[in-house]
Amino acid sequence: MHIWVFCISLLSCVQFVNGQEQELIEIEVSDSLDTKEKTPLSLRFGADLYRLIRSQTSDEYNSYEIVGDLRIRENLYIAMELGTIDFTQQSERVNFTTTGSYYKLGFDFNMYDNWEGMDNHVVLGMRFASSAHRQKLNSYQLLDRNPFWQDPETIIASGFATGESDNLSAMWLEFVVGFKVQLVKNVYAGLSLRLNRLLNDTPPKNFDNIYIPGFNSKTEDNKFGAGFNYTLSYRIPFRFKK
Amino acid sequence: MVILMVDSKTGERQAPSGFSIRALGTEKLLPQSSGDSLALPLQITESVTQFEFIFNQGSENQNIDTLQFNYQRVDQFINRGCGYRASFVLDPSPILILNSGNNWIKGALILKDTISDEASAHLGILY
Repeated sequence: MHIWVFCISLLSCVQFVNGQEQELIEIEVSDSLDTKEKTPLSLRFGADLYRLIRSQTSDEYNSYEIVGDLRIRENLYIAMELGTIDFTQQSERVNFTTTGSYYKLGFDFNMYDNWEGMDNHVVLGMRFASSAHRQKLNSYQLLDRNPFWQDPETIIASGFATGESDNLSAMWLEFVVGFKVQLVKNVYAGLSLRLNRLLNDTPPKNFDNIYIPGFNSKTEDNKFGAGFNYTLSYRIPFRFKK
Repeated sequence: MVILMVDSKTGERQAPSGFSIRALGTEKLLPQSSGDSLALPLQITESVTQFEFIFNQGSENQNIDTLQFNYQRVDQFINRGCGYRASFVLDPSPILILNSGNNWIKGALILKDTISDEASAHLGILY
């Protein structure tokens, strides 16, 4: 009987010692993660190819966007986009030119678990964005429910409501989903989709911000918009190691 | 634009007998209305519109006065689908009688100088 008790207590002692060893190992593992998290600061720059290509193929559309992000944690990036646009469009019964620039600043979170040596991204992110722009109404048509004298499609191209409004602005939030693929070392192709929520805007007099640089089309009585970019970017290969 | 025909002798709001309006430059007669008010379409690309006011049409003592209505146009944005909506502001002297002699139209009285709907009359025409 005494022998049994001795054996059990011995076993439980061994168990206890084993448990302590495991704890020690776990502490070591989490320690090594800590040092890893401090290392991966890196900077990446790029440009949006969609705007670049569309600007080359269309006279009415001239827009450029540069993108950049800074890695601050293993999976967390500070991200921004800067862009300009000069865009003339016929939108149903109005023809207008939007000129301006915008910035978007926020963060990206990488959801993708990479294998050793890979660096691909599935990104969720958010941006605060703001534009400074002007709208020029080139021509428009009048609503004429009972046409008598003239063709109801008559285009008013000078005088009256036509002309330019400047010092316009808008602010909005963007919710980003996207991915980036490392094509070759330090070169990434990325696609991102954005859902935009307008916070406020300064509309032109007797017209509306129906297109906002960076936000894209704004529909009537609707605070939401959408956008995307298709980027090619380069990571500047530096890392701080502890 | 909505006009009221007013008899200057009796002050009655009533269209005279055998009365019709023709848009100048067209052969179109404006549709008759049974009430005392008539809707005149204005030209949106001009700042004047001319009509022939015909009294006793078809009879021996037919009398035609040619009236020019003077106004300014203001366009108001609705949305991209509808475009703009024209409204008009009548000039201080809203009508000009273009033919001389034996005018049966005596004058006009502005009731409401801004024309943005057809809910009420904008101009009284005295005869």
